[in-house]
Amino acid sequence: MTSHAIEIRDLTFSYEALGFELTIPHLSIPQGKHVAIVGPSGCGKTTLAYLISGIHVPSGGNVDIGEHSVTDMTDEARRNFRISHIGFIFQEFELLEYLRVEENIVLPYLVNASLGLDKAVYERARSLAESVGIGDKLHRYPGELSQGEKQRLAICRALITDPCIIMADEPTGNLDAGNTDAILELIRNQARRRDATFVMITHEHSLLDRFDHVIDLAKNGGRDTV
Amino acid sequence: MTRLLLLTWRYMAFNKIKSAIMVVCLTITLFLPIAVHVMIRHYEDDLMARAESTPLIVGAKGNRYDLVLKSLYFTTENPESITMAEVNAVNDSGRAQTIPLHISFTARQRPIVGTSLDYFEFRGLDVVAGTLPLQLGDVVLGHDVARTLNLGVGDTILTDQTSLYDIGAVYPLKMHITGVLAAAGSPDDHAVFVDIKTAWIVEGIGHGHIDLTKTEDAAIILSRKDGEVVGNAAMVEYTEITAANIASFHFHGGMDDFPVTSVIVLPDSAKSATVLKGRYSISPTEQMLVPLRVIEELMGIVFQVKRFFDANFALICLATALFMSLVVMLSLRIRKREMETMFRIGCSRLTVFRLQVAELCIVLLVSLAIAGVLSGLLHWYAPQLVSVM
Repeated sequence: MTSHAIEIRDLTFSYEALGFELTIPHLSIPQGKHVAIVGPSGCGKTTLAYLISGIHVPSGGNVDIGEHSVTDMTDEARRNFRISHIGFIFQEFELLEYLRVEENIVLPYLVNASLGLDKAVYERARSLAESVGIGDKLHRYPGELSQGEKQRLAICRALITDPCIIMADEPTGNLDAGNTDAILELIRNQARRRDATFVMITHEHSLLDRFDHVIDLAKNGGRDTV
Repeated sequence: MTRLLLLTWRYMAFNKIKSAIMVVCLTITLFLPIAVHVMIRHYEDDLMARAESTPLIVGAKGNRYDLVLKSLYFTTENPESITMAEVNAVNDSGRAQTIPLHISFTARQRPIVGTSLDYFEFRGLDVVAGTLPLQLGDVVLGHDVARTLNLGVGDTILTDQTSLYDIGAVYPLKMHITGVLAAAGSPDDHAVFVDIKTAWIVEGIGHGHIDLTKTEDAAIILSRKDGEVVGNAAMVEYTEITAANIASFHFHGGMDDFPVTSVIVLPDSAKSATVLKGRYSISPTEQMLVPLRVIEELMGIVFQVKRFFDANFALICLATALFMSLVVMLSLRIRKREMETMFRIGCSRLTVFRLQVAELCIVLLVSLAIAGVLSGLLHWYAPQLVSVM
């Protein structure tokens, strides 16, 4: 796996209909660091995560991940880059209820033909599930899992492509205190094991001391180099 | 492609009820027009084959459809009767062979066809058990009648009472089953056959009772005068024809006046057919019909109705298409978040669209397959269904 860092320069993005505008003059996140993005609702935390991931395309500026310029890529290249380099974990888990646990884990391989799906992928999925404690639930449906197990499953799905960036959008927002701690440590351990950069959007200030760096969008508008 | 199919299949299998409803709707929409077409086709073939094999029919003037349908398929209301004199008139012309038919009564809801032995030869009917009706009171069952009523040679069958509240009505006649016909795949399978004289006995034209001139039972004698004996209502008519009482059965009146529903006329040549048709064209009370023409006319009406059904099916197809569109639209709305997740993970919008298309294609293929199987089965069983209908 190649080491990557996130480098943002003169980034602008706006939702004209909502009168929202996000401007990030410069933001640099070194490879392997654990970074929290905080700020009040509507300040653009998720938008920033989407811009880094290439889900949204900025109206100006550059987003580089390692030697790749996400903003210069075609839509297809951006999708292929995202699916193989960035693992996404969502607050609402966003699992497909009709797929079994094992199939949910390998979902990135099922929806994008640029990733080769073979037995090794399924083997990796089983190994990942074991490592997060849901190895015995591979053939269950998400509806049969607890909240904590669902998030563990979502983490497995994010990690299955062995990404260099793990992007988590309030992954503990729907969990109780015990699960919050366990899930956060689980992601951090997995990221550390892979030397992956971990970017987490959160509202919970009690978690911030676990991160190497904190970017407060409300305070400095992202004008930060961490 | 296999990954998309796997995702689609998993979605459909998980949402079984929704998938099943879509499949059922499409299957019905696809199958219904085929079913109507197949059934009408078989019905037409069935009707035509019977009509084609029957050159001419003579009957009373009136509804020609009733006359032909009654004479060929033993269905519909009883048309007006003609008399045996007509049968004899055609025979006397020397231009045709005749087969009289008298179909006015039923036995256990199956039509009783009173006819002559020539009918069985004409229709190519053979017995699989027993013999044809050779004497009064004998009855031969059509194949399906014997099967459905579980009756066979040696059993008896009772004619149906025509009116429970008519005390003057003829009593039901107990008839002896002497034979069972082989399956013919025609209306003959659903009828019971008797000699035409037995049919007249069922109608009350002929009957059997004790010989009043020899009885000593004064209780049933109303008067004796000049060798003429008048019995009273205490005299019991036989309700079963047996070897012991068969000789007492007799008919009142001349046979020329006895009724027949119709006469199958088998002309010896095309010229004879034309001559006979010419004769009957000026008859004020009888008509001679070519069954094929009448059935073709009838099928013309059926096909007009079918055109109405076809238009109806077009509307059903439209309604189904709209329903499917609605289902897809609602499904897209319900799955919007799921699709968005896929996109955020790294799936293209085109792939998301393909997933929807794949689902519709699978539904369509499954529906086509089921409709195909059903159509095959219908085609296979249509002759039986048509004969039952």
